[in-house]
Amino acid sequence: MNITIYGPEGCSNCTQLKEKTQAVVDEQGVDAEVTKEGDAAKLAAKGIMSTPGFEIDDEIVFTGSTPSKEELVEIIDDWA
Amino acid sequence: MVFEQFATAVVNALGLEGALRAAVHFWVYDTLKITAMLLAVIFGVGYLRTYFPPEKIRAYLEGKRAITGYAIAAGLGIVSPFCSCSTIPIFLGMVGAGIPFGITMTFLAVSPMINEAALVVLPGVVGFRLTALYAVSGVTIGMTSGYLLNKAGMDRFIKEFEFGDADVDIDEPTRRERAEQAYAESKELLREIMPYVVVGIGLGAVIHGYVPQALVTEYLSGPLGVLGAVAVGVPIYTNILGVIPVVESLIGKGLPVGTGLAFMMSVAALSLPQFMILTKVMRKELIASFAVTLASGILLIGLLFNAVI
Repeated sequence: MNITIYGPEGCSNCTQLKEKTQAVVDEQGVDAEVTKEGDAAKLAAKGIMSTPGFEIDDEIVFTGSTPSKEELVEIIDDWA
Repeated sequence: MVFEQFATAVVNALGLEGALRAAVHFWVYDTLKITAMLLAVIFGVGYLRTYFPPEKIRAYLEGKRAITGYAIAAGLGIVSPFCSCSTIPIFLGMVGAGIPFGITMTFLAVSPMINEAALVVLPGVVGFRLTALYAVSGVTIGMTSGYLLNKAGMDRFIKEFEFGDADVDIDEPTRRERAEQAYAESKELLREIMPYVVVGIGLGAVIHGYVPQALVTEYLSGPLGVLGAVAVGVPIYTNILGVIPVVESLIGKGLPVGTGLAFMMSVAALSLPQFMILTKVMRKELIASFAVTLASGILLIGLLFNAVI
């Protein structure tokens, strides 16, 4: 799967979420590519108003919150 | 107050005298005071903000026109999170939803200029009168700029961009979730603004301890001082909370209030990094006229207050 974290430059929560997600993916051995998208126009195109935005395979899963590692495991598991 | 006593104890323990004593005292006292206030306010407002997610606010603004729309946009600008990385997505979301252009520009102008944390910290450092002046003039400048840019038909310089609908279900969060969200947000905001605050207080402390009063009253007090304050303030960026201590000590050295106000506003409201992000969605003409309109408004307010007060 493809996981994209949407968050403009300077949003430290967004960078953190990306790192946390990458860690979860690595630890759980999930076959997923984790990327971060910082372009404000792309955020708008996805309709994201609260950062960070969390997307799996072209579908926005949540915006504006930073779940714990355990919650991330659950979200990713549910998806797979 | 405890912080005052602590700062005095620190300078006593270090055996400092004269200008250095004044500077260090200022630095320790202001850092403690401002940090404590920020912690309380940011968490409190963060909690309340969970009741008003941007999607809800946008829905509320849709269809609003004229003066109420502008006033609400300015109010939202005050309580919205004050990191430019959250202001711009909200701004774009509003544009995408077809909220009238002038209203969105008002939001974009007010959001970095005034925020609840500054409104709580400011009375403690510059007094209630200046705080009120700051808020009223900031809102006035933001609303007027939005209105004028709209009248001038500047909306034609917004770049075409796609706007999607994230369509995320927002469940009504529990109290615990709200508190967690507020906590996460406070942590992020503090991490973002503390460097500016500490450096700002450091600069303020140096001015407080070492800059001779004559220098300020002689060179920075005329109408040219206001112009200079705006010219210097526009390109540089620091958080509004970082510039407060600098202005605090400059005013203490005899800087006219209008000049201080103008400096504070121009530093917070406009900055090169913000322009860089905006180039993605606005043409240069719009960014330039946005900057010029705001800067002129700030200049006028500065001159006016210097003349009246």
